[in-house]
Amino acid sequence: MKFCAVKQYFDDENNNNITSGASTTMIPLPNVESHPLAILITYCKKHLKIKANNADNKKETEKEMEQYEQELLKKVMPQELTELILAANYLNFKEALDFFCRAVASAIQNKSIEFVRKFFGLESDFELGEEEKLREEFAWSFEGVDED
Amino acid sequence: MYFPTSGGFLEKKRLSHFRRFQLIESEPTTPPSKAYCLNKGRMVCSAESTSKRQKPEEADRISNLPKSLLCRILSFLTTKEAVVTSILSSRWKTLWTLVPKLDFDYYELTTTSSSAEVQSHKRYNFNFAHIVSRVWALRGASHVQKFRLHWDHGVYDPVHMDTWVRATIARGVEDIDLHIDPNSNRSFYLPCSLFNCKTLIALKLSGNFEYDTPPSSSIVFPSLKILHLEFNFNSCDYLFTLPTLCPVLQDLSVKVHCWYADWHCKFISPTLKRLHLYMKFDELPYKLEIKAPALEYLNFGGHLDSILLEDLSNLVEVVIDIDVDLTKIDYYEHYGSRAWDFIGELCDIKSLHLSANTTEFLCNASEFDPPVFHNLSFLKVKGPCMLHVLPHLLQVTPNLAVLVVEKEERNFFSCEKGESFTCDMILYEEPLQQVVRKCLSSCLTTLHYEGFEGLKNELKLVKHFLKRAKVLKTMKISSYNLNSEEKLCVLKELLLFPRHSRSCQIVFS
Repeated sequence: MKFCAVKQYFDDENNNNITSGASTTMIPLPNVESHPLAILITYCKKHLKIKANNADNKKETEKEMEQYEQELLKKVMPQELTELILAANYLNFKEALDFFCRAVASAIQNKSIEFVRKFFGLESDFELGEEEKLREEFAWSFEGVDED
Repeated sequence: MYFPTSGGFLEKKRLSHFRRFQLIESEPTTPPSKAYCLNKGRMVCSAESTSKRQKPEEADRISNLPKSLLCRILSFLTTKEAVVTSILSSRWKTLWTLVPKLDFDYYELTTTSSSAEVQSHKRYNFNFAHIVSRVWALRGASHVQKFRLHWDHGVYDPVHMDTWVRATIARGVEDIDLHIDPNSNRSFYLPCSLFNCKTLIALKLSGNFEYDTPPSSSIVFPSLKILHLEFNFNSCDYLFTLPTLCPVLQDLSVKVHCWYADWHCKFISPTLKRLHLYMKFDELPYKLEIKAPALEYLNFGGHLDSILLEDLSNLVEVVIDIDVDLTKIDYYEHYGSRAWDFIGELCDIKSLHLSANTTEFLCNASEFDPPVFHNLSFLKVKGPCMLHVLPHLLQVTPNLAVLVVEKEERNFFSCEKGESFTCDMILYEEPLQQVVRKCLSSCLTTLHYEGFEGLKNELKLVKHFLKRAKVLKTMKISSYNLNSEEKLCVLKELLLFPRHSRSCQIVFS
């Protein structure tokens, strides 16, 4: 069970000896919205399916998973990534959380400051001259970063 | 009967059990229009709330994530890349200092634009040591989980490196990755506190290492699960005793490029599960004994000499990639027999991968007599010699379920046997035929042929498998060199071959 929060829920249920014979068990997920939940469920199912198909061949599993992840990223908008990260974090779904965080990281890697500000929807709130001072001090980190 | 609450839904009669799950008031900024619940894996939508979902403001959304998640995102960047974010806004100014990962690569941090003009505009002319020290100072005492230092260019300074390694140990580090120039004649002396570090789970050392004072107790690295060592001759022998001394080691990788002749070493580890050996050794003789009863995975590469494996009862998967400079050895024909003997010792495994080099040696062996691999269900054979070696392997793998053959293109190919040589062996030679027929008819479920070129003998082989394999489910064929027209032609021919197994699918890519 990849959604660790949900697993915890089921474990707790068993501990309280509730009969699991009831046909509907509603699990409240107040902090997860519909759209990211759908994507996470698809991701999880795909992950398990690929793993099952390639039980003997770890390299094949990794390769197929990478291909699927590339396809998925093309369909997801940057704004949706926030929701996906929050959802994966709430559900305690480590693989998806790492995947989406890595996706955000590669989107901003070595990009210009203006690009990153736009991506995150940020505005500079530094005092006059503070930004210049930081740029000078960390000049070594700006090597290879895109120009504004 | 269900009733909606502020962010989710509860089933009425079970309310008492859900007190623990009393709803957290959801963020007032973005009330959802539909909250979904998991219904034993299926999504069930309950009533829509009346308020329409507000379109969230574009500004500052990802930045609304809590600091821990932003740090998680930054942890996928190198330290240099993360520091850049300090300039985004005042909230981000010190965020990078909270990332528990430090990643310093000399090459990344010092490739500066060489023009003198640009240099003169920079107020501070920091070198590598300055930069790393500055980052340490700004981070303060916050926890370091992972420390990676690659200093394999420039003038390497062991004193600075010692300071930084000690600093990470003091901050509870779990993963250390040190890489220094193997050609440098200055070794790095590992501090004693490293050997006794209780938090360290993974350690990777590449380069020339020694130790300063011997560790105080006979147990070192009490929590270490992963150890990767890559050495040249300037490191000390003591480090090869580490795998035996680590009490909970699970993953070991040892790569030795050159050492002295007739080296003898023993690895004893009751907890070891994965072992990766690359013994280039400059083609000198050595003797390695391994006693790892819990071992599940073995990957051997390099020059094969005397390797004694004791107690392989849990070994499941083996990968062999022999890599030898032929000009340095004078027993080429015997080398193949040695390779067969080595494989023969692994006769209880379930999965075997043989690289192109390995199959070439096996093919040219003067004499060999492999035992039967009763449990082998997965076999991958690569290289132009794979067709020569395949019949001998099929003869000793009666329970093979998945066969992957990959014909690699090779520039230097020393085998004299023709392409058609042993296809005929598989197809016609009688004692071999019977055993292969049995395996194919009852066990083989999957066949992948990679590097298919549509040659006559290849088609013959595929036809033979399709005819005989009773339980074959998938036949996957991939080719690199055929254009789409040729592919279509080959596919048509393949589809016409009679198949013994009705449920067999042919996949061509």
